[in-house]
Amino acid sequence: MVKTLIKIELRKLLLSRSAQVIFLLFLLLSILSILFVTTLMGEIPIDENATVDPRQFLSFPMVWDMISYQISYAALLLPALIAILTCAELNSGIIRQHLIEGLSRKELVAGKLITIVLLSVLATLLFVIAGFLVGMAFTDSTALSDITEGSTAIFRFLLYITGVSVLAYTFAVFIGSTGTTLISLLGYLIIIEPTIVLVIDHPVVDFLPNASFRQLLNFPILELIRGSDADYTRAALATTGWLIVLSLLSYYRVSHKDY
Amino acid sequence: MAILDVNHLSKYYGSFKALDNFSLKLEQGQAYGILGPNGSGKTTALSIILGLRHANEGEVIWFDGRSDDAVRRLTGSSLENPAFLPGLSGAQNLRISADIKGAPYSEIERVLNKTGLWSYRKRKFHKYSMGMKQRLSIAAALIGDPEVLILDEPTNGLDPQGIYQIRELILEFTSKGKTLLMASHILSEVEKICNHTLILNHGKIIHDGPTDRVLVQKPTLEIASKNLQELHEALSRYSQIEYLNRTYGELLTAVIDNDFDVAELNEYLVKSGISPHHIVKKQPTLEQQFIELIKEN
Repeated sequence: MVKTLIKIELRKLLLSRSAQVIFLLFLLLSILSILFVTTLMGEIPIDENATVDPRQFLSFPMVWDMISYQISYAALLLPALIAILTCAELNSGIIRQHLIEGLSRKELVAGKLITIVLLSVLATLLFVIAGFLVGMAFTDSTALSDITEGSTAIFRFLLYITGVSVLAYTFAVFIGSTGTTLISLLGYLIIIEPTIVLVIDHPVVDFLPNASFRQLLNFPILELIRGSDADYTRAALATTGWLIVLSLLSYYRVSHKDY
Repeated sequence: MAILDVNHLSKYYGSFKALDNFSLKLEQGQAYGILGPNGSGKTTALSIILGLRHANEGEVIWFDGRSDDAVRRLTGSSLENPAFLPGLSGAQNLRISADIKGAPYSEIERVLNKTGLWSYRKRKFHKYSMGMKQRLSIAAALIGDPEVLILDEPTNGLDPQGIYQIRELILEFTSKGKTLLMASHILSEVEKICNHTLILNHGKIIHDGPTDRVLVQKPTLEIASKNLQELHEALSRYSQIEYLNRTYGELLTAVIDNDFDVAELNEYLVKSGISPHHIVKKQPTLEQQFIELIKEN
């Protein structure tokens, strides 16, 4: 059935106008942000006494973290796309049609999770190509070990974008209306969770959904200033935990809802 | 083997009881009609049967409890307000339906031809008329050549030619010994297609049985005389009158058998000292019969 679900979701995705437009927008914004950062850093004059060469952030292995952080904002368009597609299917009756044709509620959720994984893999692929090209352009010696050294950033980026997309899907299945879902999601990510983090001065806030997802990304410049205290294993485990919890919550909602 | 066993379903929307102790048993080869006015609970009943909505009480058992996969392969359904992906053509939407049912794509041409949509297969769904959307929904239901067809108001939005075409298609389906469960508020459709009818009103079953018995056409008698009170008393004593009703204050209406003898009644009334000035035997339409049933309940 997984093969069939992939086929159905791909057909819907490839022929959806919203998906085409939003994905193109994501591509465009990603390319523009990479061009911006490479141009900016590539042109900073290097002082003889300077301890840091800004171009090192665009060289292997740091380039992986740099580029993943850079396009992580544009990549938020993909969770938005998931929310839009889910709400559209819910409100137009497509989900009802799928159910009467014989798709189970479990398969409905699985289908959308497959779409999330497909989009996340696609975004990660773009990140890998961009990171590789930028890295090759700015690295003097490109030994294979240099290229692979920071490449865990690829898996962290994949996990990050999957996490935010599953969060968006959960918001969509609980709220249902496109506008309200997007506003609520944005409100949660930029107001509610940061406020909780500010108010509750306890390490437990590091395990909130978006905090867990964001800890997977690393901004090398900040790391250089503050020093590194990133615990990617903990962040990956927390994100995986949230992926399971959010998927189960979505399934609970879908399986108890009347269509 | 029972195709479908529905036992004591009840469904509430807040405090409103949309379905009250609804049961039915669908046997192989039956053409089962659920008839009722708008808002009587037909769509709610079908939605629960199809697993779209959850009942507050009761159970639905398909094919003696066989797996969901068997239900998927053996049934085809079409509900009111068909919904497909608006940006995709009719044929592209049916490809998704075929994928879900695990049916080959060659089925698409067959069902589009059957529903008269083959020449519109490349048109986007959002450009379809209401009738075409309805046909596409029936086409999707027919994919995989199901054993059981579940249709909710199948002739909704269709023109007379379309109604005839869909009716013929359904009759062809049932003539092969396949099973149909159809909900409609159109009495004549149920009468023409179904051999078993269940009448639903305010969520309650008010009649359930073979169509020719549920919708039996009994004639009525209109009768008037100077003294309606006397006439009413005399008719109440007359054994061949089943049901008596005073209409508009000038006439009495009685339900009678087909072989009712008007001359005999006239003779009885004259002997009772009543001179009727108006006696008319009327054959009621099915619509009148149905409305009477609904009113009674």
